Amino acid sequence: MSEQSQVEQLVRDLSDGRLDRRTFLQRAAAAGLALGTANALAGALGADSAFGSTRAAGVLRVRAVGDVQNMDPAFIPGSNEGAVLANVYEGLVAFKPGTYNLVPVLADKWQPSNDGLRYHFTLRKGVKFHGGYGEVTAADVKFSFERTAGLTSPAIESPYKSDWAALGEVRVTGRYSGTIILKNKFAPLLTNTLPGFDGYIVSRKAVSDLGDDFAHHPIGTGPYEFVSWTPGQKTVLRKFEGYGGSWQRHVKAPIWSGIEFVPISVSNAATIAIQSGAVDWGPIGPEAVNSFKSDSKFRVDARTTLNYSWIGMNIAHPNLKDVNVRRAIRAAIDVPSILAAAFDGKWSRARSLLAPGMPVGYWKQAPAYARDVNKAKSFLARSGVSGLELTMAASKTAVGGQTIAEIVQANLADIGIKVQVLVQDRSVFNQLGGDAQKNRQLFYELFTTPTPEPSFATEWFTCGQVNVWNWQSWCNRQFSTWDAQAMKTLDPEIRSEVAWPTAYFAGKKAIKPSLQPSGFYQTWDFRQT
Amino acid sequence: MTVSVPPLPRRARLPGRGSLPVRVARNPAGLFGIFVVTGLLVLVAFAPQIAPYDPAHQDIVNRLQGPSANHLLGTDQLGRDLLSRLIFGVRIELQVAVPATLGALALGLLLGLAAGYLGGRADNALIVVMDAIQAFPAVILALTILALLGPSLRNVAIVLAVAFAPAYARVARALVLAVKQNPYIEAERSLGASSPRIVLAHIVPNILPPLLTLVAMNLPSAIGAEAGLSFLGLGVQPPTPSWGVILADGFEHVRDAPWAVIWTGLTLMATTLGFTFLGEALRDQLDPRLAGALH
Repeated sequence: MSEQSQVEQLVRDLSDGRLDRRTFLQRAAAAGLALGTANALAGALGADSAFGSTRAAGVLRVRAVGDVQNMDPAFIPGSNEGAVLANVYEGLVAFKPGTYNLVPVLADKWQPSNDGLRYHFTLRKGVKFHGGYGEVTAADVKFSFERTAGLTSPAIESPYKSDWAALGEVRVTGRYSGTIILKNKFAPLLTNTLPGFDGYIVSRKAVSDLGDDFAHHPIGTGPYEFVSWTPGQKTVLRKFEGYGGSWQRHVKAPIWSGIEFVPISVSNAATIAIQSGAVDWGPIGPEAVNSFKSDSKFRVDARTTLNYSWIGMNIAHPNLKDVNVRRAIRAAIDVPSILAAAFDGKWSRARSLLAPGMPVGYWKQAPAYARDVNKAKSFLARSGVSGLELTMAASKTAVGGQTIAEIVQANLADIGIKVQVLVQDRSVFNQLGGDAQKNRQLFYELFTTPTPEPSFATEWFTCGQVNVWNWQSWCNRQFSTWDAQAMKTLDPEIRSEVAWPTAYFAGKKAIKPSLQPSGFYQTWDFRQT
Repeated sequence: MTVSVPPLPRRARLPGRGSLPVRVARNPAGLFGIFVVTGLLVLVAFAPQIAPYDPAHQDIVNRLQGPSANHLLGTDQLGRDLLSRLIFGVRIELQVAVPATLGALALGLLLGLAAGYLGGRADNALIVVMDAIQAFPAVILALTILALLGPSLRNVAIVLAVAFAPAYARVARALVLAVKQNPYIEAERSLGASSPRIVLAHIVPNILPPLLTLVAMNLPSAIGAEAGLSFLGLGVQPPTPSWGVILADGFEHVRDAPWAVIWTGLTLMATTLGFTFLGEALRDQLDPRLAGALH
């Protein structure tokens, strides 16, 4: 029986009452569909095929890692909103699920100019916004992009303004056609800005009508429309009956009559929720993978993301100013043990900032430092520092955070450094600048990188981010310059081999090793399951 | 004229024969309590000699192991020996529970004496304060104080002392009100004894035994509260092997390696039962009201 007919049979059984909802989901999963479907629906998580049948198959309940806060694409705080909005909004283009190949979505035609400064687009006709807000036009495209870029009047201050930094204007040439005009070449446009949430098209009328409420009542053109948000409990979407079908050129139609995103921040609680049937699908922690894999009722899909985590050191702190102290710490830390204990061996070690899945910039030959206690002691002796006491902070919600901190604590005790572990609420851990930055010493942090744009992973380590997200306080003008230049270079080969700052780490540019950033050398790419 | 003065009991008479431990041990529950509490005290005193491993020693290769000859209770997520962590954990538990309970006793006794002996406005004011503290959910109170002071052993003990003090104050007040009605107190007063003398020499010795039984019964509550706060990450900090920390660590792996949760749960249960049984047996022996010795 084909995949399609299996799903249709399952849907018929569900509709006729021969199957309960849970059994339906289990069988759909066994058919290799349901979890992939859910995954695709939560497209921001890095999805695969989403669709099996045009017939409704009940409500899919998805575990969200946290509650939504602001669902305005110009202000979304993170991936919790991203997963919801991936079903509500559409952009001109997007990545085909499972690939980083750009495909047109709301755009019918899409043509970049030879100089990379103009992108001509023609919209699909007849695509409707949710909530009766009418047809999508080029004026909505202009409004959406220029709004985030801060070019509308009155201007908004979007935190993602820099993603549109190169935008000159969007020139409307017809009801359904226009041109994106850039001030300069901007590589992230096609790797991050347009295919990501910066590229979502919002209804100008809805933004105007709803005002501040737009943040909690998204109006898009996607296959699902927003129904309600109950803070701390769930966000509800339902299938949009007037869906324009922009995605159906690339994937099958959605089968779920609705989707509910249930925020469950604690990994263990999420596992119990999935096991008990309170939710149907969701990301699970590495510690739960084996038990789900051994349970025939469930299927576990492992997907490598571009996310990365690392142990960082604030080199501005007096305790960590000496490069030999930092080298000692690096030599003392046992990364394989961390991977085994904190991630149950489910995550793999990354040797550089950019993950292997990144289309450009991955540094294959980056060194992996092995634990060497004698070397660590030698570095420490060279620094002349003794009786060193440090703090190491980890967020309570970071997967494996406390375990990592405890391993580091034990590792550094072996070379005579005493570490106090601080397991903090995310709100405390994430405090920026001021005393929080001044007091920060060692820390464990994770960054998510939803799009294959290297600068999205590197921009946080530039000089401009010191006292903001550059918790290492490491500022290298050359690195920052290269980072900025790389964004203006469109040739992937040049980006990868010449201009991209990873060349810096390869030592090709003869930068003094004493300037080597302290936080980059122990990273892991993220295998989220 | 001869004034007949009733005898002044220094302390309540104790019922039964034999020494107190012997009388407590005659009760099977009391015997169990003595066994558990003595065992815990031995572990506190000789933890380094008894524990097979350093409780902080990590052995990642042997993480999440079940019970074996090498690790009788298994290992945790960092390969640390669970038995050793539980043994050293006793120190932490008592390090918090004993000062917290004695602190609560001291504070409660002071306030109860003041309220009961002085009476009037002082009594009313103190009762309102105690009621207010008791009405406030203990966990929220603990979370608030720890958020202000920061998580540490000392701060957890302070939080628990504050949270438990009202119960002691109320009991102490009630006992003081009962004791101060006795003729010998009146007699002392008529003989010109000062208030401090009456309180210290006659009231405190009479109300202390019931309060001490309350201490024995409150210790497991303090241990449970400490474990709860540590479980929430508000108690002792890693790698200190508090039972709450061990429980929290084990909870993450409860499906694949339930040993940490099982052993810690059983240990907490046995400790709670031990202290409670001992407290009840002591109460049976010491509480003058139950024994009918308070005249």
